[in-house]
Amino acid sequence: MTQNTDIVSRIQDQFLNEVQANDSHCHIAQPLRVELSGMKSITTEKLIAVYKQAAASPSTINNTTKESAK
Amino acid sequence: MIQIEEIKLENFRGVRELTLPMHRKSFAVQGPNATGKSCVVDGIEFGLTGNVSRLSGEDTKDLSVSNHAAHVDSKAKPESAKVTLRLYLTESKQTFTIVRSVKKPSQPIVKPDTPEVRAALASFSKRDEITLTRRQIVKYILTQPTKRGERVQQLLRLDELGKIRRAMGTALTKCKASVKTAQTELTSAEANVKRHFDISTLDPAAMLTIVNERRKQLGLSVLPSLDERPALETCSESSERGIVRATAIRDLAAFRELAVASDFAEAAGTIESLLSQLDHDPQLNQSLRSQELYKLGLDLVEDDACPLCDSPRPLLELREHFENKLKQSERAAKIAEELAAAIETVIRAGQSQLSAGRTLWKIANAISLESVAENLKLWATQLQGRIDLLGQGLDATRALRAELPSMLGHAELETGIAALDKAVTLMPDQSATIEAAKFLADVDTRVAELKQRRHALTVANTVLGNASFAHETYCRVSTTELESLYQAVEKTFSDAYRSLHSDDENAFVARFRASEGKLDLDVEFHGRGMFPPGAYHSEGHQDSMGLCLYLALMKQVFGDELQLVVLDDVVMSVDSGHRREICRLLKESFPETQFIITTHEEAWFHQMQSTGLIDRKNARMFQSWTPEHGPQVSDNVEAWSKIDEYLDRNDVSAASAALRRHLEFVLPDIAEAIAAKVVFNKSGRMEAGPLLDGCHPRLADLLGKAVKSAEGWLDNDARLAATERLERLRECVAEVGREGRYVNAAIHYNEWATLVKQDFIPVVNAYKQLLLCFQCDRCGSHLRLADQETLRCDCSKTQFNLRKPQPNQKTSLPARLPITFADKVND
Repeated sequence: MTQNTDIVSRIQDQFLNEVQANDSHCHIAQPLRVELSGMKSITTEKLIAVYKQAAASPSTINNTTKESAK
Repeated sequence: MIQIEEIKLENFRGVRELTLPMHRKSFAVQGPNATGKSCVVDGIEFGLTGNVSRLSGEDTKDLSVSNHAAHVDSKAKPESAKVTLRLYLTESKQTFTIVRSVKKPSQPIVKPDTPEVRAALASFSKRDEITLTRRQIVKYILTQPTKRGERVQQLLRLDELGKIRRAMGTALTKCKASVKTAQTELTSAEANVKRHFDISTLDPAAMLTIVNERRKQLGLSVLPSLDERPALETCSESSERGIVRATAIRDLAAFRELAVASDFAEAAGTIESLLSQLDHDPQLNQSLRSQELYKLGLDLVEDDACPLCDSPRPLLELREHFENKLKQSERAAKIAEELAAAIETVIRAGQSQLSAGRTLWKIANAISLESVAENLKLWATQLQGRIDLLGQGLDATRALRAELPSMLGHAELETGIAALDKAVTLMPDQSATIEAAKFLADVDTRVAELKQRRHALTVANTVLGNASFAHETYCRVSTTELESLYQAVEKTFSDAYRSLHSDDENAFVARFRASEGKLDLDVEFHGRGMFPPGAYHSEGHQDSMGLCLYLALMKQVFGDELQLVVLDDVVMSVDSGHRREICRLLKESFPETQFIITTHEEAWFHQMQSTGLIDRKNARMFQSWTPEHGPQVSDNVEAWSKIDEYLDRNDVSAASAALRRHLEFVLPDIAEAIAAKVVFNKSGRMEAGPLLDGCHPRLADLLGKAVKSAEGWLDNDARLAATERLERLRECVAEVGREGRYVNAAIHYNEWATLVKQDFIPVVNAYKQLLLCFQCDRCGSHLRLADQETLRCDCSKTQFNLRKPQPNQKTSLPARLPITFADKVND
């Protein structure tokens, strides 16, 4: 573990917190968190899938996010 | 973290067999070119990571570890080519060994094989910054901001940030393209509705009025809005199907107009013109084709392997390779851009024409012109195929070249379209009721499609909003965080550089500017302003900057845990004075770091020792190299046993050469330590004779001063000690004078060839005794001048005062001379 591993995590946490705090985009925070914490690197296709899923059913995802947060 | 206790190379690169104990301390290897220094560097890297950058980095396409890491005479036996490292794990204070063979570089034998050891090795295997070479220094200092940003992020282990940012950027671009497509489809659907209502703008009030007029004719209630209920809510399914004659006539006209739309014709003309240019310029054509390949490659680079051949290459290197290739032809890039824009126009025109064609297909079906409907279907399938093909690159565009101008045309359909036209024209005037019912049914169909397209565009825009917000937020957050990190690096870098160049640049400051993956670097130049490092600074200063920046970055990554750094001939352009400062910087700012340093500069090699950066027992000179035996190594400790070994074999020639090498290894350090005057040699080569001629008179002179000083201070013990050493020196010099001719480099008339072991042993003993006169009897370090007033060793056990008392000064012993020869005797 190096000092800068913490920086990557810190940036990721801050990014997800800002997304979560935004009323218009909070529903993508949880699926992004899942993808960004995966073992493999994030890919363009995975990101687009997250954005589309959220756009198709924002309320569902929003509820899921809130439930997950509990 | 890991430090090296010992490295053993067997049949590896240019080495047959070589063991170098490093004792977890900094270690230096000096030698001229082609003496095998880099084998040590490669061995360390291979032992720790299984890779050799020299054989797998940039511009090494014909090289590989599997084929070229073994000794040239052991290529057929890669299992015999191996590196053994005895390492020390600083966290657990545990020693372990790793043996890695060229045959199985990814399967090292580790003892003891514990999870902790494996984890430490795994973290090393991901490091590509173990070794710093001058070539890398240039890449940090004299490089484009984008590349510097990537390299620095990689070194700082922040490359994951770059990967995420790139993925988000690409996702954003794709989402923007999706919005464009959705917009085109919506425009077509709107045109469909406008034609049906025969209106120029989609005015809901006007449309509602028209619908309610028809509904009134059918005796249906007035709708308050079109969104509330279907326009035709009460008719049966069968009666809903039908054609409104006037709308159908307009649909047919639109279909014909779209086929000859001016923007389409212009774009098709541009494509033909560009393709003609390529026909007449094969080189340009090749560049463009390559561009397509590299663009595709860049899109596919998401793992650390080449998308074409699957060979493993670092991700950054691979992306950089594709990007460089893309930049190589600006003209090809411009043509590619123009071609892409024209193709996009043609694709959009095609999509509009398809939409109009599908409407005609519905009309043909509704009035039972099955063959026309079938032809329209075939035509639509073909057109869709061409549109899909156009998006697939240069070859596909070429394949469509001949039919491109008439791609939207429908000559093969003309008969059918004419029949359809005729059928529609001949349709009997529909009664107002039937016309109203059919009109309303078609309203429902067309408005439903319009709503669907609007929804699709809304979704696409929402997706784009998500992508845009995520991208913008991630870039902002990471840039802010990186800026503060870079500020810390900036300060460490500036402080380090200033400490090296306090004589000429004590106001030096550096400034990083980070943005969107780029990292600009400007440095202050003699109060004249901030400039890129390559603008005005000399090559030597740039080398210093590169080293300082590297150390600052490593310090940022590892803090005080930076344990191992290999510097491979990094200061070749730095002058002697500043090299001494580098020694001081490394020693004082990185006291816990083990530096493995190679250099071809003899002067720096001795500076490293004289400044205490490198212990003498951790310094090796590589004298020469042969494929059969590898490097000939001289060191301070094993030289005498090596000489004895040669003598045991009665190999006087080898013993004589080894003795001369050892003298040339050790005497420069002695000369510097006591400030001896040595005859200048323009070639820079220091030979044993002139060195010795400068050293022993200087020591005699200093010891003479020590005797006089001791007499002045009335210090009899000190006088005895200095006198004893002076006499010993004189005896040894006399003995060397009697025996030493055999090692004179000038005597190469095979005189030694006639000697036997017994003749040469006195020579060796004479030199051994002479060199002992320059050393402390206890710590073995060379006596050196301290501030011109003291001659002392490292441990202070042997110390001679050189300062005589002033005429009116009391002749009591100076307080700072605690140890004398008498102390030594009593000790």
